[in-house]
Amino acid sequence: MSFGQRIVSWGIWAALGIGLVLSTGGAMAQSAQDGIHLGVTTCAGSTCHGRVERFANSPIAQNEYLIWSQKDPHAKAFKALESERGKRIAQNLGLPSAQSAELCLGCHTDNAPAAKRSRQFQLADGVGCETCHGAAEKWLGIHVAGSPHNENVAAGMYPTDQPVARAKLCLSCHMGDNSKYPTHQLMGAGHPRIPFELDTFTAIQPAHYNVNADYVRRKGQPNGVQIWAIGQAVALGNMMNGLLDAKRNRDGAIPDFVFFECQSCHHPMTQPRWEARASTGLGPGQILFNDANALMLRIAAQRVAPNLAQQLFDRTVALHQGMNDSRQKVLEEAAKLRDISNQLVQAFAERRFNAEDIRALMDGVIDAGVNRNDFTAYGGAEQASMALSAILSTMRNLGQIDDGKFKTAQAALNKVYAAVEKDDAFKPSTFVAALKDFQAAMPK
Amino acid sequence: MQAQITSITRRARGDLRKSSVVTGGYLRIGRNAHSEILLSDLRMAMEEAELHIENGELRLIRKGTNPLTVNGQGTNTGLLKVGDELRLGPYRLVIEEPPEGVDAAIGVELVTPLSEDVERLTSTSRIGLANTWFSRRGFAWSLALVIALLFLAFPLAGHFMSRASQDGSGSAPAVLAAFHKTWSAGEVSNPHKFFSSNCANCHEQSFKTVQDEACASCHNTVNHHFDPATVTPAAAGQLSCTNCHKEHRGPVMASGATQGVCLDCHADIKKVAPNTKLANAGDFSSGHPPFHPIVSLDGKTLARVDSMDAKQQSNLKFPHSTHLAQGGVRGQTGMVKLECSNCHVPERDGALMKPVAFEQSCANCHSLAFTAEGGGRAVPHGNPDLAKRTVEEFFSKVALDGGSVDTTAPETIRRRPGVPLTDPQRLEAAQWAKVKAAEAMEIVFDDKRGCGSCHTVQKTDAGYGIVPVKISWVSMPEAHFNHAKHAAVTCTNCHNAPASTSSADILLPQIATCQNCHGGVGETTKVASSCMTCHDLHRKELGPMRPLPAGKTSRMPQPVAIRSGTN
Repeated sequence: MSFGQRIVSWGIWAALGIGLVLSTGGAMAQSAQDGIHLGVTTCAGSTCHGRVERFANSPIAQNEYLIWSQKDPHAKAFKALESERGKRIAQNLGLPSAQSAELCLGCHTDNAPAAKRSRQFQLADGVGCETCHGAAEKWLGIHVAGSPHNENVAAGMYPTDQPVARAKLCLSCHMGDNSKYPTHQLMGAGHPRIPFELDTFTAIQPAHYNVNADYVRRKGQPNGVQIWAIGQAVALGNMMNGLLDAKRNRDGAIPDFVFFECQSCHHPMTQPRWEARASTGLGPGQILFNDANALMLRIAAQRVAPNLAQQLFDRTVALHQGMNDSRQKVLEEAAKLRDISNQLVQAFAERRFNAEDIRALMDGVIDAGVNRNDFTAYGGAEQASMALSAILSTMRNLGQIDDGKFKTAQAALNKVYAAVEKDDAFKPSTFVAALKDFQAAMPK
Repeated sequence: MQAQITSITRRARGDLRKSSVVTGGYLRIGRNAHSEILLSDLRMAMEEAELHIENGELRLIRKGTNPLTVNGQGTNTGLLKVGDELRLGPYRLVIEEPPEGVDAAIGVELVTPLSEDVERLTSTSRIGLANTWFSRRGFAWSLALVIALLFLAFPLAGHFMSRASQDGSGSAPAVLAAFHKTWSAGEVSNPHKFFSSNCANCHEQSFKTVQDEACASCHNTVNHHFDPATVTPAAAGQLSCTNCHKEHRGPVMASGATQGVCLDCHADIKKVAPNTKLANAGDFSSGHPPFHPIVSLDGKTLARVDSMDAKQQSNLKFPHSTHLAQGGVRGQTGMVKLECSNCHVPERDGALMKPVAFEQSCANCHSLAFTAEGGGRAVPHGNPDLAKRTVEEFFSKVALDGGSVDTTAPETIRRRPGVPLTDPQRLEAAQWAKVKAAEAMEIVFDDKRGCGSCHTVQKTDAGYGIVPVKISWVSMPEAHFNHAKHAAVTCTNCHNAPASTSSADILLPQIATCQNCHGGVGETTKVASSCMTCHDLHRKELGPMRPLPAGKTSRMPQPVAIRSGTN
């Protein structure tokens, strides 16, 4: 090991150490307000959320735990730490084990502080009920007695039914927030990419609730497109928060590489793929921050708040430029983009997305790919695929499209997905062709 | 007036005079008890005469029937002076000079006593026992002879005649047998009545208390109280049946043991059993050691623990607190308030509780359903292998029949029922059934619900298993307790189950709980309880106290077998 490598290694260790301390502290500060985490076992009982058949007068299916434990990858989050890959990452990062490292536990389980864990609580349960729904100590009593959802929320249950709250919750791990976050070192050590789109991931989790009359009465009719749009706005704001976070981005002159588009660097050099793109204003060889959320957000903003859409476009281009300019410029533009994102969250939350809106957003996504060449990077294409999926599902849920047309569109969407199935085999031209096919399959 | 009355008795050596002063408006003379001048001879009338003061002089007024004379002259009334002599029946009264301060003085003398008259009467009659031919001594001897004949000779004759007979009964004349019973000390207890006509069944030797061997000739399986090898030889011989079991005290055999019989040894148990682990025991109110229940600490074996605070491992998960929560538990139809008796039902004798049965007590809320398909199916409780077969057979049948409503199932499974399967479809169906069965087994044997709600689930390569429940069904086998007798007491008074959040808690009461109501033998304000209130002398785990000697058979008459058919 050369002297230079040694210095870098120490730097990594120091950064990791600071990160761990701060992430632990942040998690503690957040959980201190919580009650005790009672553990998945408390919820999973065969009289509560662990039933195959629900009680006759139950408004819910009561099989939530079964769906989670059998189908939801969250249930296997902790076990992933024990996998060969998990062991490799821990070894590469110099951690004794992934199952004991705060860096990993922060997102791979319900990492409640030791004092806030009940007797039945088990770290090995992974991302369980209370990781998302909040520590149950304070609200389990009234919840068991059948209190309405708003009273549970008032008592401390996390309002996962609210799209903004849900987006923040999911993104706290599926992108990372200022208390726990993945770094490029973690990625380098072997962690897979962390893609996320709120509405799609809610569906494929799979959701452990049914939107039926009772759900609508208690929590309102969810609108997938609104959830998608809010998810994008919160995601971009969250990313800007990350760029602005003083304790991150200290690895060098430029922000942590984790904020950048992986495939813009990670692709075989024998396959040149750079294409000019107006939405970046960058030239070849310039590093590209992951603007997938910004691209989606622009499409949604164009329909809901056109003036914010233009600002968003301008500031995104400016941030791209800033990344290749100075740290100061990055911080300035990130702050502006965060502000725009927050305004858009508000705008989307207030918007009732009707049939025309939904159709316009679908056309917007296709247009961005086909006519603006926005999806030359893998991340953008991936988000576009999930956006089309969210929009198509919403159309079907709201009765905007009949079964026959839905099946035709779904078949076309499968081709779009096929074009982004493997990040290392991604070809923009294939993706655009699939988008065109999808456009053709959709009735006017 | 005041008068001095002097009783005069003539004696050979001089007269005896006894004086007393009486007070009254006048003086009454007669046999009446309130008479100032009491003339107690039976021949006197109640009221014979009165003396009044009249102008400083005494006036006599006759009231009775006996002749009254003054100085020999019969009279009814008249004034008296000192020296006058009155005769009234057998009495002579003399008016004497009154001493200072007294109005009158009268001397009274019985001159003709009654005895002289009586003697004259009896000397001429013959009514005394001594005057008859039947002397007292002769009568006593005769009666003694009769008693000896009826109550000694007859019974003895009956006894020896019946003993001499082969079957030991019935050969003595009825009259002898009847008098035989006069020797009975009281009614024989009910179980012993059927052979009680022959005293010798128990009283093997005349004029000797019943020996243990007599009892053991039938009761040869009664368990010992201790292992004779563990106690000193002297102590080993101390316990005899009749120490405790008192016969001839009515229909119920009296267990007459007093606590003293127990404490003779248990007050200083090491003295008689040097190697015992038992603590010394005394009166229940103060001398009884704490309870040491038997539980499982390792989930495999049972062991005695020193304290109720120990944590047991029954391999069951059951928080009583959750099930007895004030607000109830969530059940089929909403919140249900559970009572202890919803799960804990006493045995018929009321002593212990029946084992909690899943089907009766748990299944209503804790379903073992593994699929909602076809109206739902559940695995049977208590047999993992059968559960596996149930699940596999169910999904195999669904796959073979077709017509599944499971929207995630492949077309083959959802095909119109009855459509035959091609060979490749058969493989697909079998594969689907296998996967679904595996999923269902995961649900059933999940460690947080299903089996795992209460049990510790073991997953091995061979499949799922349940760690056997290890509960000591009788945690204090040396004592007997009857729940039915305590039915008036609320369960939670003794078992603090509502506060128990874990099945590791030992929910038996401490001795102090018992002592709230039960005191020692001399207790007056609590239930007076002796050793025998809770403990049995004969311990099931030990061998017979008095086994039949080799070659002997039990004298217990066996019921005659009822045979069917004729000859």
